[in-house]
Amino acid sequence: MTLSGTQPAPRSAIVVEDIAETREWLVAALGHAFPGVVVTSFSHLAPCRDWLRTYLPKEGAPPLIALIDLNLPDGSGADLIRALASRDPRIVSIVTTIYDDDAHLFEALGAGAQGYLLKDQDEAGLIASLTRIERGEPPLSPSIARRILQRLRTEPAGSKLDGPSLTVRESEVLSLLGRGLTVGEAARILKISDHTVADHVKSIYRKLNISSRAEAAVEAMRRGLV
Amino acid sequence: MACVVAATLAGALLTIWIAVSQPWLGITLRAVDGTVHAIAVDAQGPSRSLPVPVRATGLASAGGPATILESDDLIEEPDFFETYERAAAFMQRQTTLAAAMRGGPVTLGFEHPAGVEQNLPIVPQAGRPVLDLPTPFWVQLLVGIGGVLIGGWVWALRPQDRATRLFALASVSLMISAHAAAIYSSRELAIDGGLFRALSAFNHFGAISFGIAMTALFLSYPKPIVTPAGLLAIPAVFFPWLAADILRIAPSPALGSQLPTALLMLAIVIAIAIQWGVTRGDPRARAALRWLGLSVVIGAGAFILTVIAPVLLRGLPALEQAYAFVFFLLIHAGVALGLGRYRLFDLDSWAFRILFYAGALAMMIILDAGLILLLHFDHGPSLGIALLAVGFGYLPLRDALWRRMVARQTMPEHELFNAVIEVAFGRSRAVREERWLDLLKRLFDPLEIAPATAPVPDPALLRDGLELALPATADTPPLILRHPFGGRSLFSSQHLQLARQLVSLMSHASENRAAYERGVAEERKRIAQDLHDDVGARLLSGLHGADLAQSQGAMRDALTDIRTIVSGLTGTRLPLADVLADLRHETRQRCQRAGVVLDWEMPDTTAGTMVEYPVYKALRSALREAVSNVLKHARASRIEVSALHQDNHIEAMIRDDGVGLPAQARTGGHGLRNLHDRVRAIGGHIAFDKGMPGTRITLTLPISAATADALP
Repeated sequence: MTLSGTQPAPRSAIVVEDIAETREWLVAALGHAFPGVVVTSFSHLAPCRDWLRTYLPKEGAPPLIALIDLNLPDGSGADLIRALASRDPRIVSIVTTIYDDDAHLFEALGAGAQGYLLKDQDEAGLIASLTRIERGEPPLSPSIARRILQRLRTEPAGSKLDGPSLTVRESEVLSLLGRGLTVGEAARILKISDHTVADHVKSIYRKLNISSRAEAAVEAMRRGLV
Repeated sequence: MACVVAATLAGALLTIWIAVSQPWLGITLRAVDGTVHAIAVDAQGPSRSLPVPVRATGLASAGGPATILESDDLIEEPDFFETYERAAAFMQRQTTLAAAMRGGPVTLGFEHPAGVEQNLPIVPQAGRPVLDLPTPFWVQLLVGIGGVLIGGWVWALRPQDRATRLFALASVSLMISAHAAAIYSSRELAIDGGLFRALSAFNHFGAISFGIAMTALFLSYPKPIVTPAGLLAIPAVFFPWLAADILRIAPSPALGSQLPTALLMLAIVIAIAIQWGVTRGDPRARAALRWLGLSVVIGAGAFILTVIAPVLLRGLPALEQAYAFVFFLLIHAGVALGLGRYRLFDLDSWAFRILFYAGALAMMIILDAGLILLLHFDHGPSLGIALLAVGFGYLPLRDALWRRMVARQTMPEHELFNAVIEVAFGRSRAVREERWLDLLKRLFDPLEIAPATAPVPDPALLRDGLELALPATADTPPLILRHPFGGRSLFSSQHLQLARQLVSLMSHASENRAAYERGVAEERKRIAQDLHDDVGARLLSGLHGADLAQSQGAMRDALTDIRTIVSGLTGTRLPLADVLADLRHETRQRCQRAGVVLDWEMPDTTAGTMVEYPVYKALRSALREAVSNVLKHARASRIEVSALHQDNHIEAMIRDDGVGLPAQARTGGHGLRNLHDRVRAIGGHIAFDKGMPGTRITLTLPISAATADALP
């Protein structure tokens, strides 16, 4: 902390996690992944929201990183992710959870999460995933890729369907990743660069976000809220 | 009952005998515009040579003076003379004519249409052929017989009952009245005045007795309103009145005969009205009364409208009296059903039905008469218009009334279905029982719901519809519902139908719920077993493990197991391709972190292959454990993995370029020994070989436990 002033503004991060040991573990992992990071941690959503009201990113500081548990004592972390995404789309929201089911996964990705990490992996794995997300490579396990592929339609050439659907290239990327290939392997098979594959993945994430918003709107209309 | 039948037959035979012992001319006479016309003659009869139709002018005995025939001589019912003097004169003429016919040859004077008067000598036959008796005779005879048989039947059901006795009395009175009238009203031309007067007296006696008995009946049934002694007041008033009429000391026949008859009818109606008030709160009595009252009011009302009222209003009956007697038979049949309490619970709907049809008929007659009298329509068109008006106006109204008053469908079908589902899927037995009782209350509003003392196999109506028995359903023991609709009504067969529908829907829904609960229980059992077997074992090994890293690994595995158990994947089969994709991804990340190169080609031979969950678990554990060993101990720079589906098994190979396994790890190390056991448990085998360099692990697993025996 003594380095501030001479160096660019330090990176900030928040952790929202109700289990104390896990919270400490996540804070430590952030410290390993992003040396010099200033981490503020919360056990509940409410104090975190209060903190965010007064939080002002420092000039030139890298975007805020938020590790957010989904099931919190006073609400769903997905709501916080949604609030963060609408406040500043550059904020990197990452879900840290023990749930691996479709309902939680798509709720989080739909809310605008840019990563979905399981808390029971080992520390090295967690750190590696965090750094990749920060570099703009959203993690996409084969299982998640397969589930997204099932959820989003592939757009047939020339047709106009309601809601977002995958381009042919995106679904090719997804099915390769779903078969367990790495980004690099998928890039070689598709004869495109690693970077382009990562862009496709990010685009897929955005579409999940849009599709979940469209679903929310349809659901709201159905319930007579709109 | 046999006595009743015998007495009835004897009475009927007596009636027929009197009717056929009269002298016979064999001429059918009709009154036309104040004169008498012969309209037909019997082809074998004494007057077969009379040309018909012809006006009959007079009748003379041999050598005696001729009696000029008048239309009044043919009158059916002598009660309709305005004064007793005229009635006496009529009787005198009847005596004269009858004596002439009885006395031997007579001469009939007749007038051709051309105006020529002629005489025809006729020898009257001593007796009338039975088949010559006209239809009205038989109608009245049968009304009498039918009435007594009905009355006798009801009396035989409950011989000690005051109501049935009074009803039997009314039946006998009806027969006396009808049979007496049958003889004189269907005479050919004349019967002896003395006999006529006696028959007329019997007719009056029967009518008054009928009225007295019926009034007394409704003062005693369904609820006794007047004591038996008090009932005697009725004959005490009406029999002297009757005597005054018979002795012709009343002011006029109308006041002597029609008035008391009408008064008695009125008394019956009043008695019914009083009963209506008294039976409030007793639906059974009400149902009986509603039916009895309706029968009497419609039957007697029609008789008064068509026969008595026109006379009191100084006209002639609108309907031949003989046919009007049929109304009494209607009353009788109705009263008998009511008294016999035959399907009392269904009589209500029949009562309404008859009321509606009677209403339609009355409306049609009134419309028809109104159109003819007021608007001077022809008969044909007015009848057509009345029919149309009733058809389009009244019948829909009737349907609406029917639905309101009788059908009482308290809940549409889909609501009923929802209600049943709500009951059947109640959380607990207590909730289901409570909801079932609530539903029954909503549908039938009974004053009382009690457990049935005997088993009830199917819904049933008991005690004339006062009670509805329901079988055990919706976790509720069999029930008896008493006094439906706040005690104001009875259970009808429609309600029984509804109850059947309800019980059958409920048993379907309950079966479904039971199946659902079985499913839940099985699922809970599966989860419990998996939690104990898998998670429990992991946590125990973590708890008792010597080093922290091993404990942490066990915890991680436990969490993974929990996810798998919750997702319901245990017990299912998984695509081998997906399983391998996930393992490859996980292994690659681990290798990347350790700086080791992973060489794992993904062939397409696994497409479509499904593996059972225990096989997947063994494969995953084996691969993880093997890779962990390599990363921890082998100091390797490269790991080569291959997994293939061959025939009915999976062949996996893990090879590294490290220093090779220490001998102790290969045989006794905890992790590897566990691995060995686990693979063996599902029928596979694992082999450790020295690679050149490093180690090669070969793993053979069956696709499913069933194929384990066939492994190479």
